Amino acid sequence: MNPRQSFRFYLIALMLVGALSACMNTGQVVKPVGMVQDIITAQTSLTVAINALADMHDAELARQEMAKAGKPVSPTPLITDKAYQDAKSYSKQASAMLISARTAATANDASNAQTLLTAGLNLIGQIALVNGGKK
Amino acid sequence: MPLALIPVIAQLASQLIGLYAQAHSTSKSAAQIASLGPTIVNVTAALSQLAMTFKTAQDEKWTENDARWLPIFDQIDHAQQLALDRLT
Repeated sequence: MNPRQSFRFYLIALMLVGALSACMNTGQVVKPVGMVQDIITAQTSLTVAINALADMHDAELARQEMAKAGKPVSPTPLITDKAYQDAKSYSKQASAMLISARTAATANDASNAQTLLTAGLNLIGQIALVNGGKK
Repeated sequence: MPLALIPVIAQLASQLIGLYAQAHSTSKSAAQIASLGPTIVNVTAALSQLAMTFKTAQDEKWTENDARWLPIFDQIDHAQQLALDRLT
């Protein structure tokens, strides 16, 4: 990593810390209460994971273009096509599951909502792994 | 700090930092790498807004099928559909 890239990396890290501090400075402690709030939290996490997956795929396409143009790039794919297709499938399944979970929760069917939420969270974990995150 | 949201933020940070590291390893331009910064800020701002919504819901004792959730559901579904549409 050259100094300029290092600077940018730490700038990004600093922005993240700053944003977190802004949350902390409110002095509020807020936890999701109830099934609907748990599901909303999961849906937010899923949206983040899907966007990260799309970013990863975009970066891989850019890497392939650079390789075709003869530019120096790593020969290792950022994400294999199979992993991307699997994660894409998980994304669609998780999205549908969490919406069903929410429908169940708003109909006061907590048991069904919990089952669907758990399944959706497992899928989010799978997508996070493809994205390079850790469970 | 919205404590229960910490795992979500941690997962996000893990994903983005992992993505950064991989992007860096492919010699992507510094500008492309730096473009992840606004994404981090946007998402943390959204999480902060979400925590405030939960606080309001808890203070005002919204029920599970309260009609006040509906516009929030719409926002979440819209954002999720936009993300899904990115998966070509």
